[in-house]
Amino acid sequence: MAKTILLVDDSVTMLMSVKTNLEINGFKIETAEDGVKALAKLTSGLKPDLIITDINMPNMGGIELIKKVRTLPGFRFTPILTLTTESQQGKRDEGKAAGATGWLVKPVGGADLLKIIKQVLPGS
Amino acid sequence: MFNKFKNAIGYASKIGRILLISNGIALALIIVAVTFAFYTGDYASVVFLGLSSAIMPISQWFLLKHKSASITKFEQKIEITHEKLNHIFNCIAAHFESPTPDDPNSLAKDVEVFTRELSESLTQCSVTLTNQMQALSIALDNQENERLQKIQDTLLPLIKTLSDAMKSYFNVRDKIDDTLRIQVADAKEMIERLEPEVLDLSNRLASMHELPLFPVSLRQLDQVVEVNLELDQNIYSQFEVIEHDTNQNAIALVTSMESLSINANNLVDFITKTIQTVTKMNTNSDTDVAFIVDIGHFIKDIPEKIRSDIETLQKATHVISDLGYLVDSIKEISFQTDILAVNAAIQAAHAGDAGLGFKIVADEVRKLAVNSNHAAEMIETGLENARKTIQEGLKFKALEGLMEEIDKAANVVDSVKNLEQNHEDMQQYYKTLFAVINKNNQQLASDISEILSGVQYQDIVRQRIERMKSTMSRRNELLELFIQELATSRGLLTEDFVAQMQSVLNDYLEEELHHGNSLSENSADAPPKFELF
Amino acid sequence: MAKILVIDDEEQLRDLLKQMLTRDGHEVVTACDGVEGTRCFDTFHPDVVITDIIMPNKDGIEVITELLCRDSTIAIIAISGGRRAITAEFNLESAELLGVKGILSKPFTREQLREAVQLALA
Repeated sequence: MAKTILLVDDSVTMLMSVKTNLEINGFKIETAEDGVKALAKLTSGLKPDLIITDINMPNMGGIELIKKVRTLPGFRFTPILTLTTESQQGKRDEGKAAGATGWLVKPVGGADLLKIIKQVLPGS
Repeated sequence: MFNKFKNAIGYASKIGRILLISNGIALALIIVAVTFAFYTGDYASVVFLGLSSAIMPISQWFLLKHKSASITKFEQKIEITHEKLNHIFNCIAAHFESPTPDDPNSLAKDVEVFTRELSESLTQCSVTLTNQMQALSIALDNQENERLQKIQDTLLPLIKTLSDAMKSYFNVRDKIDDTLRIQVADAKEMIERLEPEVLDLSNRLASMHELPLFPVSLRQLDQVVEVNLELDQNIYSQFEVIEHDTNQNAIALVTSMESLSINANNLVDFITKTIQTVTKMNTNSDTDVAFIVDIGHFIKDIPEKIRSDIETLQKATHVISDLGYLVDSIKEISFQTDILAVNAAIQAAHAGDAGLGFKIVADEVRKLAVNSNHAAEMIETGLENARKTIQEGLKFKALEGLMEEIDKAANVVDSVKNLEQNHEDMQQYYKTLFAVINKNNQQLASDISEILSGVQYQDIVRQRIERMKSTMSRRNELLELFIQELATSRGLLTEDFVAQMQSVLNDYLEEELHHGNSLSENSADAPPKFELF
Repeated sequence: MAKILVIDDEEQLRDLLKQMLTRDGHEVVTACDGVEGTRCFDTFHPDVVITDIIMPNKDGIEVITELLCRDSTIAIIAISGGRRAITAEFNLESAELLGVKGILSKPFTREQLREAVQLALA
């Protein structure tokens, strides 16, 4: 059964390229352009197996989104990865504290991304 | 100094006198050399010093030997020293060559002149010394007091010349000192005089309305420009990072495309080559299938053929059976005829002679009946044989003509076996082909993944450019404000523009630190690109 | 020197290979078809696998695909003599495209076998 991944990023090109890459490898993908839209999807029935989110987005950024997702019922243990240009330790600690499962710095190669997803989503 | 020497020479013994004289001269030469070294730092002076001090042991040595032979040697040595002295003084003279030879009043010129004179004096001294030493020794040997007195007389003026030379040297040095001191004092006085004048001038300038720039504004302008330059340098280096990133990305994309293309080509080549195999297998199949179809048709027709033969034969059998009934009829008729004939014969016998004719006919009819019975029996046997023959024939006759065909049909087994094998081969072929194509597709998917991930650079570069744009527009606003103020404020600026510009730079640098870039990622203390908490 | 797994349905060839490789100092285990072969792979953990292509039950192509799926770095050498329309060339070229490190066409010499094993171990 194909696993579902929710991608959150304000860059259209990012969404397009990561979506196509993961779809080719057998995942089902949903997208959102900021934290607000992502939450809307999560609270209206979408239950992805993994969430991958950017940090700097308009309306609601990644850190805030992660915090809010962790309070939703059923999403306490869903793996959440960040995919961002932010690389400093300070931001990483913020992410970890908010509840992120992992931190990825752009750009991430196709094979590397799949390897990491396999680690957080066993059996995919 | 002059008097002391005179006394010294007067009171010493003959050897003591010689010692005193040579040492005295050597000492004087040392003093000159030291002073030169002190003022010029010239190594030539040091050499001169060395050489002059060599005179002392040489003269001692002469005294110890106290022979004419040693005097000759001493003379030679003095001559060499004399040459060397000349050379050294020429060097010193050259060293003092004036840097501005056209200036007749330069101090250097004076010093040069002096050194020349001194060199000449000293050369003279050394020559005279040589001669005098020679004469002295001879005089000492011959106890010639008059001669000694004469020598003493010559040496004294020599020493005087030397002392005069020293004096004039010290004079020149003093003159140099004085001149320098005067020039320094003059300069100081000039500065002291000018300072209030400069201040006065700047004050007057400040009060003039045509010049709006105050020295303080000038300083701010300078610093603002500096900070700007630093900001531009940082932005420039970010452009270099962008250039580097996009370059790397393009190369990676092309490499992936090449890999894709190579894989596709390899697969096409492989499949093209294997088409021969497929063609051969297809041909084999066709032949076998055609043969089997033929046999199939043949076998399909056999029942039909057999049935029609059987029908024919059955018809014949029916006919024969019908004939059989006929035979029975004939037998019945013949039997009845026979009975009739017997009856007729009896009747004839009863009739006597009248029935003789009738008896003959009856006998004949009886014979006919027997013959027709016999014939019926023969027909019956014949029919029976015919039926037997047909029955036998039904077993074999239908297939007789088709024996060849049946032999051929036996080969069907081989053809079927061939087809089976061909089918196996085809299965193997397609299985292998699919395995290769599947592997190829995996490689394809992986290559496409890599290519797609290159698109991420668009986002990274866009963000970098946005940061640059916002920083530059901040900077430009600030600069415009600054320039406006400079033009209108007459030098009194309301804000600290340097601090503001510095904060634009610092904010930009801090922001850039937040985001990784490909050049800093490879440093040893950079945090890892992928981290699972 | 190395652990080698030999998979071939022909008993004579299996024994010959085992003999040649053991003489060169390797530890050799044999299997008679693909099913036994993949089972042995999981228990023996060889450094090199030498497999025939045409075998009953599970053939060499399936073995190669499966083993490379489990461990993409395993060194495999494919051997084939071909059969009827399926030539040795076809089998060995396919094996190369699937990712084997060496190929041997039957019949092969001891030298060729040795070379292929050395290459696979490199």
